[in-house]
Amino acid sequence: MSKLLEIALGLVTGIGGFLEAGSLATSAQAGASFGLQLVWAIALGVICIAFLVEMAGRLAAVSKHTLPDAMRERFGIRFFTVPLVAVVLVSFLVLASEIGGVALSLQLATGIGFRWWEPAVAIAVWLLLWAHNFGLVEKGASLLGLVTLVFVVGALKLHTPLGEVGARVVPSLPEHDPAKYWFMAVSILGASVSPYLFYFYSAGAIEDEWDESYLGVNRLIAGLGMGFGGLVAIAVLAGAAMVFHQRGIEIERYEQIPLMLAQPLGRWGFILFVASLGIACFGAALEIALQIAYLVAQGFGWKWGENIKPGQAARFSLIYTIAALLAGLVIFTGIDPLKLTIFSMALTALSLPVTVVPLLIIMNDREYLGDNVNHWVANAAVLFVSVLACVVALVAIPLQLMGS
Amino acid sequence: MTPRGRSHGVAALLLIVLPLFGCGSSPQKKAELAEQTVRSWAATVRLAREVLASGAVSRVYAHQVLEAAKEAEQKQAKQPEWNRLPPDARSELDSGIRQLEAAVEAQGDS
Repeated sequence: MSKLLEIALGLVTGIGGFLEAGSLATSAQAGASFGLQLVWAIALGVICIAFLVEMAGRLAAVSKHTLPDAMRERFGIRFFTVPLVAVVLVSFLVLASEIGGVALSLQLATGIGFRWWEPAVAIAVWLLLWAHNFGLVEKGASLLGLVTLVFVVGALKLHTPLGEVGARVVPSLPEHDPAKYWFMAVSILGASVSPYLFYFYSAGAIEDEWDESYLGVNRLIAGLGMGFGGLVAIAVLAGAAMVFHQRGIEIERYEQIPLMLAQPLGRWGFILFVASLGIACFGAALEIALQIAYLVAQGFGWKWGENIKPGQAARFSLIYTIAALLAGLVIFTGIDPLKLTIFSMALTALSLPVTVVPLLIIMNDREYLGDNVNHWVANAAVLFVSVLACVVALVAIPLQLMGS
Repeated sequence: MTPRGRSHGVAALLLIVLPLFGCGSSPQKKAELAEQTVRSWAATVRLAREVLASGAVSRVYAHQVLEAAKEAEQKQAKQPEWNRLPPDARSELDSGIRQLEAAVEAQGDS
């Protein structure tokens, strides 16, 4: 495939694949509660994830290692189990949130409770992974995910003050309710800097057989793809600010959120909201289930690959099967899907140093990267955001739990 | 650093950091939050009624918002702060729910 086509597809994947249950819920809640104040959290998260995705792609292209593979080799299996357990646990909760998001989109459309849709959605996720290859999973879901651009249309239709959005990229202290403000900031960072994004990206680069000639492509896809994707998340926050914040509406249930597009865009706004929620969450569920399987299989040196038949990588296939079906049972137990989504994002932020620091060590190791090791700017940016997110999460999560 | 020195350091850090987070919920704060929640749901059902009337959403969806609002009202009614809420806040939510319910039923009849 020509490099130009790769870049185009990569950008589309970045834009269409960025929004999912976590970024949608956190951005909508943040916009409703604090107006445009938390735009900076999305911007910071996007900068960090762009660096991390670029690193993961560069590692795969130069060293021909996926991230888990390199971590196990570099640090040994004992150390590797620490980030393995952290990422698998957090990813599992996020996977349950995404399956919950799809089920909720079906509830919004049909009126049939989301719990009854859960098992069908979980089975659909598994079936698509079992029966199809990596290209369809990655590109297909992300292409359909372009429907999420409706949030940008909605924000513009609501005459969002773009100058103020730009000004709010600069971090600010809360104007009210500081515990909730910092908890929301942490949740947004967790939604933006999800480990599954860069773990999945590194596996994808190997599946697509990238080499050093793809380093430029990788940089463009990571930077522009994540950047444009982040704009969609900012559009969600802005739309929520214009519709909910101005009316004094706080988001406590998923059922409230479609109003942010129904109000400015009418019938099509509601329809496209439901489609966006369903498609974005389904695409994310596919990626996360695969990412869990990649992480375990690559980490333990098992055979893996979405482009080979399931029977030829039986343990790999078993992992994503178990992950998808078990995650489908979580929401079925009656857990509030919005609360699960928000808290799993906060836990993601809390676990960032565990997942990011090993990557940074490898990315500065010339045995893996040769002359393509990290620039100090990349190290500083990623380390700063990860440690900040973790420290704030350590304080904000208990306070929010006490408050609620 | 000695263990005693470390624990003093942690305590000092918490004394600086926790006020930034507005740690501690006073009864007044809880009452403010309760009023905020009730008025939020009143505004939600008002908005839902508007978009239902404009044809932007289906009766099926409006019914879901209605049920969510009723659950929120029932949950708030069980809190001690409910009886200390301004009367207009409670009546605003209650009348909003009734009006949305009537609008949903009217859609079902037509």
